[in-house]
Amino acid sequence: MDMESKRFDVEEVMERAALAAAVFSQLDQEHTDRIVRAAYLAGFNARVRLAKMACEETGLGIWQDKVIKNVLATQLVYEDIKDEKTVGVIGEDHERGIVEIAQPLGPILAVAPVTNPTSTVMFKILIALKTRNPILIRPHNRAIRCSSEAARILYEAALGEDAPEDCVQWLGNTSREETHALMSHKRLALILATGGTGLVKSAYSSGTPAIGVGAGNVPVYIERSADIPFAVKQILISKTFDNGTVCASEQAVVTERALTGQVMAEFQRRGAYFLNEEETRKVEAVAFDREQGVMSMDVVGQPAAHIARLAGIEAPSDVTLLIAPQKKVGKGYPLSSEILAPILAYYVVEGLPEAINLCIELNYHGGIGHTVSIFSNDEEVIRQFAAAMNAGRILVNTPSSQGAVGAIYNRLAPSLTLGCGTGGKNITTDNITARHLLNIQRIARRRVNEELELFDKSLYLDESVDAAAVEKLYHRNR
Amino acid sequence: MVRFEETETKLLVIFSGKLDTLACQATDEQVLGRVRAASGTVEFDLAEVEYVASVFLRICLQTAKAAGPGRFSVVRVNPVVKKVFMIAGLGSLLAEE
Repeated sequence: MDMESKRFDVEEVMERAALAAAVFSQLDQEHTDRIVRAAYLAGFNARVRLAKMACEETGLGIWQDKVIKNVLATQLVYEDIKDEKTVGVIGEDHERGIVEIAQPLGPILAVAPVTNPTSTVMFKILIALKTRNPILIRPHNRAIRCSSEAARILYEAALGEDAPEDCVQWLGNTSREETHALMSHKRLALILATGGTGLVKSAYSSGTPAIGVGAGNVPVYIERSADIPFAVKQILISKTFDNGTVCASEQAVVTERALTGQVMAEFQRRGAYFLNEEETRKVEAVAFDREQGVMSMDVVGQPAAHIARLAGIEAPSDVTLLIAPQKKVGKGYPLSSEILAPILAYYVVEGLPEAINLCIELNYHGGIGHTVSIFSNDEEVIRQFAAAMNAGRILVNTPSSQGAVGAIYNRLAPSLTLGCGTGGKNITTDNITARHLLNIQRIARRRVNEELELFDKSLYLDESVDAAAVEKLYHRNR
Repeated sequence: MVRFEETETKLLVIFSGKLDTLACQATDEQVLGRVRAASGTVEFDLAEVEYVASVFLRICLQTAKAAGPGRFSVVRVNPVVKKVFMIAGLGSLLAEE
């Protein structure tokens, strides 16, 4: 039976996961760390093969870039978490009388996306193992072989260090009903949902705690103090990375009229092609599914030259990026939406206030809470921009694809699950990592609140005593 | 690692040490064989056990099935192992003590 058609029994899968969770609870930090290291080494050593498998199976992206994603998911994640305490006492504050104890959550269902099918799997397995949580990998139906292979490699390496049997399980082709049954299973502790909006919504509706991600629609503002050649180079590094499949990749460039000549020339010098109005309409037609109101899978992760051919545009064969000048943001302007491909919207504004307003519109057009980017050398402008945005990550002078995932261009936690806060219907804006997969128990020792102890509590019963009076007395003799 | 004490009414299986995958694989046939042959109730005594692997939990499940309803229990577990049974959803196998 091949992997795609393999069925599974939800109850059996969950029972195995529950047993693994039970056995995991006995492991100490040293044993846990040995398991994580073995899994990381095996995943890292398979990085090239898995990257090639992912490209071949999904038909998306560039294998060399997927290697980098696999490196982030293994080496850089490992370096970030390897010394973290995740078992037993992880913190002590003698003054406050608080001792923190880490406990695993229990079985985690990890949904993996088609755009990062091996890196996301390896990342989630490593942070689950580090926190002694069994993990069930639910691959995207178009990436079952490569995601399963990534899971198998890490699992077998973990077993080599006496990891609990079934601490990693991977599922074959999963129907909507099976996914729902898993998500709502009483023995499931958490859903780590990285995927499309529908799937993330299902996770949140299941009744099981979930850490989801929101969609992105990343504006990048090239401000007048920016180093323009540097900025354009960084944006190209980011937007062409894996043919634009990273949800934190730039979707729209915003720049000022005084700079646009230089910005355009820099983009063109680096192989980008500016579309005219007619060409823009043609690209819109192939890149955006108007009926569904989302990007078309025909262009996701495809090279710019392929998209140009698909749209019937005569762009140079070595074109790196298609850039569509736009006037407005919204439903009537499909390329102002998120398109995970080497296509960029391009806006020219008169100055800072208009630029920030436009970035707010882009940010709120499907990308609330995710990521925004600015190229600037003016600290005051950077602060104004940041304060106006609703984004978990405000990246400065950084390629946003590589910047948002952390550890390469900044010290954000390396992650392939980027929280988008309440704006993106998520519980956090953090880059999700091992510490999010722990229940923290707190031993709270007696430390009497001296101010409360000295305060005459009978005053609480006297209606004539107002808050101002209480506050004064409460803090007296401090 | 495992020893047996059997009377007409009860088979007591006393385990000790680390019941990891290898240890369980070495003894599971012997244990299940004795369980199937037993005519009375079956008890697993885990007082001297410091670690259990998934395989051992499966042996418990198989034993419970082979012994029949109400005829199998796990006794004298330490708190770590008790927690393992509770997390696994096998708390009903633990004897009330």
